[in-house]
Amino acid sequence: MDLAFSGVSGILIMLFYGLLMLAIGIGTFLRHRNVHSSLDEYYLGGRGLGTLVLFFTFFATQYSGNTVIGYSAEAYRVGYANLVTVPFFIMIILVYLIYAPRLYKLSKKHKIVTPVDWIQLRYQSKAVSILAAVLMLYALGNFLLEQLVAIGQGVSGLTGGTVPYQAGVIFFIVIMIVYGWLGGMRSVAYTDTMQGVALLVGVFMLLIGTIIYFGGLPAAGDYIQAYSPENLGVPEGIGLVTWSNFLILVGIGAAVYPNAIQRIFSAKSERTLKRSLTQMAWMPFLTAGVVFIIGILAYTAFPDLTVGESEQVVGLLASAIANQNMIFYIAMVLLFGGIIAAIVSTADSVLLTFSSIISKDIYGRYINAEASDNKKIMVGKVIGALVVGLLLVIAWNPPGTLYQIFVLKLEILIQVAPAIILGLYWKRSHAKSVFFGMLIGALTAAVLTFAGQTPLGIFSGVWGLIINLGIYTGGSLVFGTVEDEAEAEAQTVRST
Amino acid sequence: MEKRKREPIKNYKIWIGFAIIFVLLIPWYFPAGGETMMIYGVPLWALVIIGMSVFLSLYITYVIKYHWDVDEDDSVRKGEE
Repeated sequence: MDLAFSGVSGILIMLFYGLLMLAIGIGTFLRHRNVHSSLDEYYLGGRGLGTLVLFFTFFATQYSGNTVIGYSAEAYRVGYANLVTVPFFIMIILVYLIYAPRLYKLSKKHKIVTPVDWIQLRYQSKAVSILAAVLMLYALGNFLLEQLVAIGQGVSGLTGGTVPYQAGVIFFIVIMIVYGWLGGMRSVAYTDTMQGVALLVGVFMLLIGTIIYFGGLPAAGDYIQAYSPENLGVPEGIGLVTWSNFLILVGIGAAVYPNAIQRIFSAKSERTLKRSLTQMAWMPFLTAGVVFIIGILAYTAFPDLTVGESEQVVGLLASAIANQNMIFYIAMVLLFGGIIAAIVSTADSVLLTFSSIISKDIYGRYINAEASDNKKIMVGKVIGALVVGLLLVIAWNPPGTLYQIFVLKLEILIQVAPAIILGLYWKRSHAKSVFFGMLIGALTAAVLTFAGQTPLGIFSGVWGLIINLGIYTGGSLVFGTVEDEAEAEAQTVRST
Repeated sequence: MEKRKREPIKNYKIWIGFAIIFVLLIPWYFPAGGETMMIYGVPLWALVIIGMSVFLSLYITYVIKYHWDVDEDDSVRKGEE
């Protein structure tokens, strides 16, 4: 397959995007010299992100390059059953509505920097806080690993192997760490804005090009009806269970990603937060929806790809379209850069949040509480970079048998959701029950995932969540007293 | 001042609406098997799901605009955008 961006042009595109990100990082640093003076400044952009930047940083956190590459491939393979991706991205915003209004208020009042800060404030329990921190760090680490692998594959895939996997990863990781170190949340959010624009424009041009050169939905519909009518059918039986599982697991799981929660804390005001979330409620149509349609349309262009080949369906389409004329060539350059940038922009926010939990919740709370903010930030940065190095080693030498421990993400992360969300509202919440619910829920999800089991068609993470909630609510009903919670609750009540 | 505050979680009626939309977002109410009805190359059931998704986004927009007003400090901050 002859890709349009192999050779020197591929290298130039990557260099251009990389240097642009770096320039944004340096520019941010020069404008905000005091960025390392406090945890608020570094990790939350001084709690001053306006609507547009806040929106794009939510956007970049939620949509990665995988959304474009993986979801269109999935739509190509399974057809309309994959339409669930559109509502599940909207569900995330619905889950925000459950907790974001109050958590935002509390974060301002109590200077909360990380989600673990909130858990500590609420339960005043070392066990709950440490367990939540560990689960979050674990899920974030795996999420980061996935993004690192995606950067390498993206770069080498999109340039037809001109830029080797390792070189692509190292180049972008170094740039990401440098701009992250320079400007913290601000440079992450500003680069997110650039990265989001590139991705949106690119994906739209891919859609338009596909329609012009390969035909629209009616043509694709006829084609699929003739050759794979099962891809048009309504999901039934187990398909329906899977569909609803996706809505729950992704809706709740993605809404409690620590990096997503931290963006709530970074909002300049309630108004900017409301506006950004309103815009986010409509983005699934422009991203997941467009990506889904591209996957369906690809059917007319490349009707019989194998499963392996279908993974590259976006690359194949973009390459074919780029070869048509100059305008589409430039647009596909934007798309390719946008896809890589989108992966980098997801990775940078994960890394920043990872460092913040190390700085604030591990080092700053249990190891050296007396340290200055500057020192805490430094420890978070250095450990974040070391973890990236470790993950790179794992990415290049994947362990044969235990690989699954690096796959668990949402399944584990969703177990922290009850502590964060229910804790906001339920006075009786009992710290020990919260702890055991979280622990046993996470273990259940892990064991079921390793065993490859989905009893009754329900995902392992959802099983874990059901058990977790059972222990949490049961234990709190039996042991929880409102007195126990008096202190934490008083704070909650006073602030609402 | 206290009475003006609105928080989505405190208004159970909002959540009845969300529950109904959630149930309708799962395509269980279409006849299984048989010929899929197509409109401009898209299965009818998929169009209904897209319609429900649009409705969910609209409803979220409405709730954010009219049922979320917690932070009184905001009234002080004018002209921030």
